[in-house]
Amino acid sequence: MLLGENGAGKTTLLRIAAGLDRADSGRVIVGGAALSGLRGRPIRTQGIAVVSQHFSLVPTMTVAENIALARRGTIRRFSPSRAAPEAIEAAQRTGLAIDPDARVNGLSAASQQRVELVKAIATDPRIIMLDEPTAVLDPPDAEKLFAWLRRFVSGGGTAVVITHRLREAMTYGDSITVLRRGRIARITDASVPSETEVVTAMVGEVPVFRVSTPSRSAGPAAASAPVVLSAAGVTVTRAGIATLRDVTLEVRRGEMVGVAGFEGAGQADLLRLFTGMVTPSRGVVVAPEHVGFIPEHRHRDAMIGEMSLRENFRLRDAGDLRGVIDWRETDARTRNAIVTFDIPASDVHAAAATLSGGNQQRLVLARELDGDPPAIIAENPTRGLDVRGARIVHDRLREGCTRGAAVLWYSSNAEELIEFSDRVVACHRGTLREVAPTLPAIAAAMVAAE
Amino acid sequence: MSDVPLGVIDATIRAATPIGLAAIGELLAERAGILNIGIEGGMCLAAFAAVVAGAGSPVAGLMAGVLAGILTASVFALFVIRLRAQQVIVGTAVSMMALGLSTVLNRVLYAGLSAAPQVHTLPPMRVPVLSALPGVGQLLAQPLPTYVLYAAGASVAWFLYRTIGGLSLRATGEDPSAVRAAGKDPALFQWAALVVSGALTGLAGATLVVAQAGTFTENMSAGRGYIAIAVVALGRWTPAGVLVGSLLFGAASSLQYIVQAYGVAIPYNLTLAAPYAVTLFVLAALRGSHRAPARLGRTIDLPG
Amino acid sequence: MTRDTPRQAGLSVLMVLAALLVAAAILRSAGYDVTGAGIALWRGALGSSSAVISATLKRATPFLFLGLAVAVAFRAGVLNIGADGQFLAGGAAAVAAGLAMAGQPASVTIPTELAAGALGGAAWAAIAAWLRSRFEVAEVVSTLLLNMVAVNLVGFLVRGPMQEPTHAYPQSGILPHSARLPSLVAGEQLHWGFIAALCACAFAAWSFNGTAAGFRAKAVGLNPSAAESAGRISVARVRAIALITSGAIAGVAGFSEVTGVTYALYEGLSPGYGYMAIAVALLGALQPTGIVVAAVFFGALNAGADAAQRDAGIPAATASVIAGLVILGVVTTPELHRQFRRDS
Repeated sequence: MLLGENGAGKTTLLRIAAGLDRADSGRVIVGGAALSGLRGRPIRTQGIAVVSQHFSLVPTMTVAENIALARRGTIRRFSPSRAAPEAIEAAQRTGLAIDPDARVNGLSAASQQRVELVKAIATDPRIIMLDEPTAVLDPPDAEKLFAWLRRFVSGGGTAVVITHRLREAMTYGDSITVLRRGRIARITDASVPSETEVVTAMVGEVPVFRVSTPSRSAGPAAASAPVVLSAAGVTVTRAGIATLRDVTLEVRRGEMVGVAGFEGAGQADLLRLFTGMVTPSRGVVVAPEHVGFIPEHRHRDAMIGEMSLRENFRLRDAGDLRGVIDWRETDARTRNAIVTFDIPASDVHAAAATLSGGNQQRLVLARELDGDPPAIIAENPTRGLDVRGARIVHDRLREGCTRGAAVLWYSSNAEELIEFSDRVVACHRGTLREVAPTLPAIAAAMVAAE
Repeated sequence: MSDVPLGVIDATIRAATPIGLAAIGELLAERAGILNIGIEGGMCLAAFAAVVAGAGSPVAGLMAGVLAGILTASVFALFVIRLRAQQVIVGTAVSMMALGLSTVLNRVLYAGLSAAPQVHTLPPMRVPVLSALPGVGQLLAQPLPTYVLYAAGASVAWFLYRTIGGLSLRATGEDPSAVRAAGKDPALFQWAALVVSGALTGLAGATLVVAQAGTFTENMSAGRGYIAIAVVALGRWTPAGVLVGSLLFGAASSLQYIVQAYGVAIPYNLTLAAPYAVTLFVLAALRGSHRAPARLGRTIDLPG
Repeated sequence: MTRDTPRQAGLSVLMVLAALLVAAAILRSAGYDVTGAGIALWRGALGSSSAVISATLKRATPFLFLGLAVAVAFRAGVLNIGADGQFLAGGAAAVAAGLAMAGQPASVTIPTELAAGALGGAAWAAIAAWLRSRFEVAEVVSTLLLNMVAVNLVGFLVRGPMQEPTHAYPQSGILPHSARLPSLVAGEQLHWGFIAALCACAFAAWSFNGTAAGFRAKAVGLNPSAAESAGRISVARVRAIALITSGAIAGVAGFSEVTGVTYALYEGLSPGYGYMAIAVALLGALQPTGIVVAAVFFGALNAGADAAQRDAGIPAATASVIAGLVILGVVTTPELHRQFRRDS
């Protein structure tokens, strides 16, 4: 069992151990033999099966085809009519239910996770490595999985499981390794330590986010403030699957609302409703014309690394630009942002890619908060940032809020949500529910409907 | 009634054979996510190789064509897979080089002659009994490459849909990271697809010489490689569709034949443009490329 | 623009030299007098002021326009392989306009021909843009097919409706003097199209970065999802505009060629100019200044190849082998690599 906070290095360690990524230094030894020079090379031959957090299923193929893909051989026979029963047979060993003829891109995250697990198991590996396997599974399925893992281990197999759920680790693990910020904080026998010991190892002596921050907004007073963002009875359907079902939410002026939920639970579409990037199939959405938007995938959605700082700054709402661009005005605003957001850049012509991840995020924040938008939408804005970088993001969002913006944000880190939000709502399979700002309440709401 | 349709069917198959061969190869490459517009040049260079080696025997000509096709495809593969360059651009460059090279070599080797030498062509092979059937019998009285086309279509279909390797190749065109996660190397499938595709392209080029014209003329491929690419889209990226698509194109090309036979007054150049226009029209009618492999034309992301 | 421009330029020169060396090696092994060919190439391209003006710069003119046309599309991530067809469409439209306006003064005729050329090229590209937006047909396939249609359509025109009055040759009637671009230097073949092409490059250099449309195209070409998400840019719209603009510029190239050089429409008007233009655009790193340098290089290469064929018997097709080698060399350099890794 591998435990640790977000960004502690669990996934990196697993990928290196499995030969999917190469370490900068050091050696990886599997079954007595060192893995070397394996970057990008297949690893299944070593009898290791990996289930990553990001699904490695071919979306346009069927479940049976995906499971057969893991089999070896080139001209070995593949028969669509026989692949289905074979897939079901593999699934039955674990008790996880799959539909072999379904196309993967129509499946929910939980079904995809089941397919991913069955696919790994179907290869008869000696070592199995699972990254957060239960994050999107229902509790009964999670139990089936662990029951199978116990049988697998007692049959001589080795299993490495990454989890952020303490209880899982302590109930099912033989040993627990805790990672903190890229270092091993503790390795122990699973039966020995107490929960608090493990938690301390995970977060360190001082809880990461208990640092001085601007105080929260007025709280009750905000209840009378005007509503800036609102969704009423909204349903969003993609390719026949509802990602949001009859959701209602209001965010008021000066209010900061946090959204909790696992990947694929619907929070992505919920946030993007207010940016106009997702259109509801039912219901009414009200949002101001200009919304500051900080997307989760910075390199994909927020900035263009090959472009200069000023060009990235100008990118905002470039769709509405007309005629000739006033670069002088853009330069002035970019310089201003460089100073106020403390971005270490020599000049506005530097390529954005030359900045570190944290500074790129500051650039995006500076651009999106420029001109004090009435609403700010932020998707997991501290993802991949160190503590200092995260703090700047928190401070700026909070500041925007104090100036009167309505802030709606999502984070994969529940503690962060509790710390900085005025209210927290949890997403589960496209439904939304207000929760008490405590870890157990949020965790419960994320895995099960009321 | 009887003579003209037979002639039309024959002309259709003649036009369809080289295009079908190249298109079946291109289909394999595209299912692995690779768009190779270099096959136009590969075909021409192969045609030239066929005329050089075809002096010995038509079969030697075919073999030389296949080799030239594989060579051209390997250059393309090297740049696209190993050096990760953009596929369409490399394809254009390889096409220009191969076309130019075939012209240059033609002038070099046959400078003193007015044209490339004549070579013996492959005779039609009649399938006993069946080839005597009215109409469809013509399908079974063709030179060797046409039968290779039938066989290639069938074996590519079998490979793609009935083997684990074919499944992995299709997955490479849809989502190479999933193939890597399954412990296989997507680049390997792309290489294999391109080599086989190169062989079929080469055979297509050689067919123009040793089964049809009997000699080489500069720029002999005359856009057939590009047509093959369109035919793959036309055939919705399936082997059966590609075979039907190339027959359709062949039929459109034999339009000039019909025009002559019936004395319809359509200008010759318009009948030459017709197959391309028809292909565009059918592509539009079938709603273009939304069934294309998801990662067609894109370089595989590096792992990690 | 980019910090690496000098390095990029150095690499491009290196690639060109390597391509020339490879071509020389091929010719040598084929038993040609490479030294003699080299001298002929030099004389034909740069050996005298007349060679430079009447051969190299004249031949560079279509490459200036077409390289720019390809760059406009490529910058927005649209793989327009159809510059050849758009060039022919523009040329045919310009000739048709010029012939129809016989008797009118040049001040009226030439602007009309220019407009006809631009419209012809734009319309030909618009077919591909329409097929994309309405029917999801990939530009790569449609522009390639449209090239073939254009070649055969021109073949039809010069044998049918547009054939010269005697009906003896497959070409159009000859444009009257009032419908021709005047020559730039007395006694030389260089025409005003060259200046127009330089002006187009200068305008592009400014508009690529200075205008909203140029900026949007660049953003869409580099990262369509960020352009859509952060810039609220309609990627499909920007791409369609880029493709049609690209076609219009290629059409102007056709106009410049028929009114400045051939004075008539005929089948072989473009010996693969549209494909070589891809090499020009890439060699010029999709930047107007780079395109000017690359176009003059290609003009010199073609002028020199003509001379080498005339004087040393080297097949002129060697130029296209060299062009292919140059693209292969350049396309693997890091700058362009980045530009094209994430295309549509």
